[in-house]
Amino acid sequence: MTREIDLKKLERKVFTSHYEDGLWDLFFGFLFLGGVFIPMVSWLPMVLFSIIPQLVTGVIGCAILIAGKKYITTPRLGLFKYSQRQEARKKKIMLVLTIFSIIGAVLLILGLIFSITFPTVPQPELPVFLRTYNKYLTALGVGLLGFSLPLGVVSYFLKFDRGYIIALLGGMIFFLTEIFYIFVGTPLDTILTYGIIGGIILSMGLFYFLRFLRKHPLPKEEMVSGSE
Amino acid sequence: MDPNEKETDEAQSLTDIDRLIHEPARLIIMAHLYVVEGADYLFLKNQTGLTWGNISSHISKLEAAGYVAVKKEFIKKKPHTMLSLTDKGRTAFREYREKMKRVLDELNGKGEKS
Repeated sequence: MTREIDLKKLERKVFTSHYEDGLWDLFFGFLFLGGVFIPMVSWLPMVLFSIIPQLVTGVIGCAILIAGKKYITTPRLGLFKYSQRQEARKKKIMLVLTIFSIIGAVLLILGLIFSITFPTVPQPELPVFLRTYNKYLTALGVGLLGFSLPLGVVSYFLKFDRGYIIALLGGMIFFLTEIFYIFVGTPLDTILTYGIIGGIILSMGLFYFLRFLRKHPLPKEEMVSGSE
Repeated sequence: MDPNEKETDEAQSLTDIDRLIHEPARLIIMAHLYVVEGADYLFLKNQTGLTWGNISSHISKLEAAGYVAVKKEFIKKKPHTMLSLTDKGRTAFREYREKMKRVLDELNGKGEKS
């Protein structure tokens, strides 16, 4: 019988145990569902109307995430403290996350501005294929570069496997909106896209959350304190 | 080197293994505490799958050996116990892993020759 223990695998198991609760999925689900309300605030200046609804639902999602971790996850999973090496690594990841978030936000805003002004900008020097599908390629590029790539990188460092799925779904939003526009026009294109993407991610989160609650009932207090 | 002498050395290295850590439940507890700075009983129970009684009993033995430190504190007026490996415990665990690796490598080498 081998007694070799893979410490790297064990460390990964310890850190990824905190994603079992599905709370991060719920957060992203709420964030994307906010997009459903974008058409309702379309009277506001362009940049603002795309941010406010998602800011509001994002804050709700964040509150659920923080409260959930404090009152539901930790009392069921227990507490552990990161080592100094891990704390330093966490700080580096947060720095990378901040940089990527800023770059992503800038790209998204630039993409929004470009996608709206593009139809009025003639580009005869582009090949026919690009002139015809430029709008869709731009939407896809902005989504993948502005959202999927940063979240994918962060998911890699944080070992959050479901983050890759959320990154891919989120990155497809602008592209899908352009596709839905062909069939249902505006504002249904926006409502459908954000509703479907947000709904999928939220459902995923709910599934993991309910499974987590069943798998980890609340322990008795005297057991947690170690005085049993 | 005389083959009999070599066999005696290999047998000796097996008996030198830290039996306190070598017990499967204590080994898995030590391994989990090794990869974090500290953890509580609930965390260990969830990660190891051991029962409360099991964990409590093994922690007592590890604490008696000086491998684990048990710190009782209050978090928002509720008693809470944090467990962590001492320096002695971390060194002992590292040495245990190195010895086990040597023993297993030697056994594997022997298996291939035969």
